[in-house]
Amino acid sequence: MSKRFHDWYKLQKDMQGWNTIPPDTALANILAPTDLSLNFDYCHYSIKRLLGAFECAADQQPDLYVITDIELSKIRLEELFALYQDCYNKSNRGIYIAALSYYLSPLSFDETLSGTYSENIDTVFRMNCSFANRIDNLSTVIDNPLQLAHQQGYMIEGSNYIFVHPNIKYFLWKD
Amino acid sequence: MNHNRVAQYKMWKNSLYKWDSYIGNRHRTEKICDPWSQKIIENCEGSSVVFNSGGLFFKDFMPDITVVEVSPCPIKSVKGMLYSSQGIDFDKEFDNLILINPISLKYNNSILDFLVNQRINRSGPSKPNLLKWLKKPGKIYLSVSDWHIYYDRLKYSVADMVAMQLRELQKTGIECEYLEITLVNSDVENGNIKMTLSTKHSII
Repeated sequence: MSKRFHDWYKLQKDMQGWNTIPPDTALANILAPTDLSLNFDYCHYSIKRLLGAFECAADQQPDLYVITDIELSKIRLEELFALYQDCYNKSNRGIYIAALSYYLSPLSFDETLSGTYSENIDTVFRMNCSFANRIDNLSTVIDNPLQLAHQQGYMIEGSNYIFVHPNIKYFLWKD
Repeated sequence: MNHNRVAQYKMWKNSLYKWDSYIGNRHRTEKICDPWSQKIIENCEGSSVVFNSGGLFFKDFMPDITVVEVSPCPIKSVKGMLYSSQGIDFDKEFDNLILINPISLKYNNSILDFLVNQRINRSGPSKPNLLKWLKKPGKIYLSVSDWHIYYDRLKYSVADMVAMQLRELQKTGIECEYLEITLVNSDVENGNIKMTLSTKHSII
């Protein structure tokens, strides 16, 4: 990431006075004590910065793939699930995945899904990630964000103005 | 302090998707206009209001235009621009309402709700009832990125979502006269969903 990006981010932060919403810090706090070796091929730069010390050597099999690049959410969902499975198979312990609900674009749609969007995301992700032995859902998808904003008087979605973080988050474990 | 003003300006600019095009055109003798904007310009008759969309871009191309943004430019006041956060209340009604990827539509799941209701939204609490500004019959030129709309993307395609939006609008007599849906990253500036709506039979 360019220096210009960092300056721009800092300018916004200083001017508006908001705190960085730190999903990667939360993830780092979970992963750092585990001492797992991590693969960062598909991750956002910030998690690599936070957990660089745990990066797996190129010639070794990583314990955990960290797949958090938000741009990946824009590829066809079926391809994304294939990527998840491929990384899962290549890992020792499993994968961590993060995606943005506003970018999901499946090839086929399922009108029989009967829950809210967040519930349907969980249903579809669990179904397509059933290759995993254990699934932990850490997602923070907000249903009807405008309706919620009307009730509480402010918006949560995009509240750090421009930068949007993934809101679909799962650990897929082998054990 | 100076940096803060620059940051503030950049953030303000970010919500105005046509701003870069406007700046680019300012000193050009031959102004450049993209196809969607050209279509709007060719079809707008009478007076027009552009809301939350970097409407000064259209100042270069249209004779009778009012530009309304949500909040004032933080560096200095911009000539020709009105601000809805300053309690604007139009006596004047317009023949056309132009909305290019308005940030105030972001995270909404209903275009009708966005047009009609004065509520909190992505750009703050000050978005007015936009239909109040429009004469009957009036035209709405709306384009938006589907990434900005909240809907169940696992159940419905973009086309399905747009069809549902149009059905909701049609119940109030607002009819779609033109619709174009392209790939989401095909037109980042204007948005990939483009529509012209008519309020000829509107009951609102």
